[in-house]
Amino acid sequence: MRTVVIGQYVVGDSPVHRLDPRTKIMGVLVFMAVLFAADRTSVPSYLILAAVALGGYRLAGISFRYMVRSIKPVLVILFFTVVINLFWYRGEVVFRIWRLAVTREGIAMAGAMGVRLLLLVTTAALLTLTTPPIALTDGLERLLSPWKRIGVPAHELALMLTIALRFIPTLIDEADRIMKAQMARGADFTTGGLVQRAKSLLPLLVPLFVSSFRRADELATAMEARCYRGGEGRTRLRELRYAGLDYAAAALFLVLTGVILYLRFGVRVP
Amino acid sequence: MCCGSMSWFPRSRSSVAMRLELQGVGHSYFRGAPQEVRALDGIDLVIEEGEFLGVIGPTGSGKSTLAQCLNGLLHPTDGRILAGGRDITGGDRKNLRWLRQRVGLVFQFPESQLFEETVEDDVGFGPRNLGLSRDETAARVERALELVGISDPGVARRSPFTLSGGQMRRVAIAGVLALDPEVLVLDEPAAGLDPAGRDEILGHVKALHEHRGLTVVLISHNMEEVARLADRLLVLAGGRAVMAGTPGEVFRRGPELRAMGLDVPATVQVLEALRHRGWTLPEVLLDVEATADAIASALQAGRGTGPC
Repeated sequence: MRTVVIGQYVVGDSPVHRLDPRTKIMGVLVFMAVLFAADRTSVPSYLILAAVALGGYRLAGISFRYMVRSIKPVLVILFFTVVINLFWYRGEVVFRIWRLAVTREGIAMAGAMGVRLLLLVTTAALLTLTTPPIALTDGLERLLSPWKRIGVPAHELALMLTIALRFIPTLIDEADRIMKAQMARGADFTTGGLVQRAKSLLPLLVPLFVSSFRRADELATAMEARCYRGGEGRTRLRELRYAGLDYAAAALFLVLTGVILYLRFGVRVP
Repeated sequence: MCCGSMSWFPRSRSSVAMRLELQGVGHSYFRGAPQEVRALDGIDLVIEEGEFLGVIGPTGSGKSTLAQCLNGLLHPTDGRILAGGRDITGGDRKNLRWLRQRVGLVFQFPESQLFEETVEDDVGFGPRNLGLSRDETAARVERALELVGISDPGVARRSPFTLSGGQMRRVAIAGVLALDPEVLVLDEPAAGLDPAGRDEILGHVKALHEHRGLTVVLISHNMEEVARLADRLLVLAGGRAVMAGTPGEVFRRGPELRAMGLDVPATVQVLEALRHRGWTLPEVLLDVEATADAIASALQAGRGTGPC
């Protein structure tokens, strides 16, 4: 019941919140690229990147509890990434577990991959924590609009995303209600083998599809009743505009990229 | 409307009475979270076998939460519920199929739960889940459909999605009746139907109570509906039971009900308005005919006693 908040936006008025969504999306993309471009044996590189991520949270005034929570969904992946990397590399053997050797290179790689994954997830979470879903799709539409000329349906994609985000909580509510109604008729969604359980989802999925189609139809009618006719020539209530803050953020990311790339390639280049 | 000669399903279960007893029942959503909502609080209630209980209350007063507690779909966070003497809130809460079979719950807009290809398959979903034989299921489907006034075998073989809204609603209710429950809990069964559909559904509910002896718990926003049908009313507000009693007792407290966003039936409103003008009339009559008679005799007696 109404527990699921998609986008997990935390209301605030920090500099991070005020940044243009385009800046934040690009920033996160640049950060991710830099994260994987960084020299994986260079501890200072990762310290700088971690400092940027933590600084972002600090500046946004978002408690680190949210940061920790954002890691939860990827804990399993994180665990396997680290464990596999530990045993994957040949090199100087540090210790052995049964016949599997843990090497110095393996430890370095596992550490680097773990840190990369952690920073990846937490910065992506910072984006959704500080940007309302609507602003996010708006920013995405603007970023994609230059590609309209080669046939990227930027406006339609953004609209689909907005509608999907809007209806996820509604659908979850609906699914919960139908599930209970079928349970009241003796349905069992939790026991039985895989095939049995997939079959038992039918009484849930059919009504859910029926109501989704009905809702989609009603939404289309409601939009047409308000004269919606696509993105062509459409003006906006709130125009996105880059401000001083955005240029400052851009400069910061430029410096960050420079430093990380220098740490990777610069030292060796004569 | 409902065929009195037809025999109800053979009673093969134990004969323990399905008396529902709620002791200090409370329920909170998101317990412990900052957005915790106290949906039910300290409800003490006994629903006797064969009773017709009406539950009224403004939106968000906990009516639907209460309904879901009655057949174990929700476990109250406080207090306990005894169904036929068995505690359904204690340790044995995993296996509640017996309870769901004996306490049938019809959700709001139940037509949204239909999913099978034909009406008869859909109504048979409950009996199939109970593990009944093909013949037994078919028999139950036929009887359940008859109970809601669908006796045309042609309809039974149609897809439920081709039916009208009122018919879909009745098919969905038949889907619960096919479980052969002793207690029927209905959450706003007539919401969103036209007056004819509304009378039809409520007529079937009434017949189930009177002819089949089902215990009925009817949750409604409509004061006329509960006034006409229920033996006893429970008024919920903010998750608490604020009033309980016969419809006559409850609707005597018009001002309190209005303060909660509820109202009294139209007959009581007319009587109240006339008494304000000095007519000598009873406070509460729930039947339109009886109200008309009372007003007629007051007229004959010389337009009451006070000034006009």
